[in-house]
Amino acid sequence: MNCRSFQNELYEYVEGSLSADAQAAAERHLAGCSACRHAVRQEQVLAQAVSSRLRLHAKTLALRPEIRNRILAAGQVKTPPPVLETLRGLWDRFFRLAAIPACLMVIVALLLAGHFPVLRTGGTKTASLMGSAQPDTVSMQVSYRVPAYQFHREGAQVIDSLSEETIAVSGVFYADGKRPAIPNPERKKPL
Amino acid sequence: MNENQLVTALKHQVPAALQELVDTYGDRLLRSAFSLCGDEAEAEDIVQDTFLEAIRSIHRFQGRSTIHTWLHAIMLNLVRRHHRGRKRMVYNDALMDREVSPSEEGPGRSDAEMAAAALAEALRRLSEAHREVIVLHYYEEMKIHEIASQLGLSKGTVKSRLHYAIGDLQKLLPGELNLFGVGDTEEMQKQ
Repeated sequence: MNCRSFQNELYEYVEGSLSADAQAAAERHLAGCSACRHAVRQEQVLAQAVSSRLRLHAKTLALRPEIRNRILAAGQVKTPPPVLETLRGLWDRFFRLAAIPACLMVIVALLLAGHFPVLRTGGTKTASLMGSAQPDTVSMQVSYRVPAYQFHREGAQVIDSLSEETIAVSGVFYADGKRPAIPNPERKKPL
Repeated sequence: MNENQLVTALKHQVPAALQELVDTYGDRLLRSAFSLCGDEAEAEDIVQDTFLEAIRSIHRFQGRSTIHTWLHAIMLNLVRRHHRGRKRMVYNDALMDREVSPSEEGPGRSDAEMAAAALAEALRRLSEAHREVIVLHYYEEMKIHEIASQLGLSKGTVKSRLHYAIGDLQKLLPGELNLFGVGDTEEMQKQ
């Protein structure tokens, strides 16, 4: 062991935590090295000085009775058993996170139900509007517009023109489950 | 009640066990917390929180360390949390160069008390990382490997921090309150 390796283990030597072999090697080195012996003495003096001064500074400190009583009072509140605490930990870690998208999904579903008429129960709505019992039939009319191209020849050229055509479909749904009577679509003249 | 019995009683929330825990370790933890944070009121808060946290997490205590080491680890985390929550103290070169004057410590004190107070003041001015290793090594008398385990550091890092922390303390303490005494310090400077 040389001075450098001894200095690396100086703290362990002073506190006595070296292995038996390392301790013996350190002793052999110290026997012939006054500089390292001096370093050991310094560390021992330092440890004694710091330890005694810190203890002296804090020696009058003691836990005040009111602090002690406060701790004991808080300790009387029964803490949940580990199983419950584990469940609460799972809730905190996972389920609480899962609750956020679940709430969002519910909100989206409600919005969709309000937006698309097919999800509504038309009979109920009609009944509530008319203030009477559920009707036997529900009438429905759907209209949509489609683009319509028309072509005609002018001399040697073919001219196309774009217009829109409105198609209206209406039908009657029966409460007893009969198929709706949907007439042929009614086409209106192009605009 | 030995340690195992105490832990078992704490896990079963026996009120007498908590009393014994507080009476056995309260003062020691308070002094250690005071050495780490330098403020008595803050140290009391930290010790109170330490016991409450210990009660909450007693079921996780596996007995791989002593109760004191376990409590001390909780306390150390709380000290760090308190320091992060407080307004950050500024340690600049001017502050580091300024020695702690014995006259600041007030009249009517013995030399030993003044030296202890000066060391405590100097310790307060160290960085948190340096203060921790000084208190753990010289006040709690933990071995290097124990400090490394407690702080989650390598042994080399702990020893390096100790070395630099002592150097900073020496700069902050005036000659007559030096940790090695005047003669030794001059000898050190020559080397």
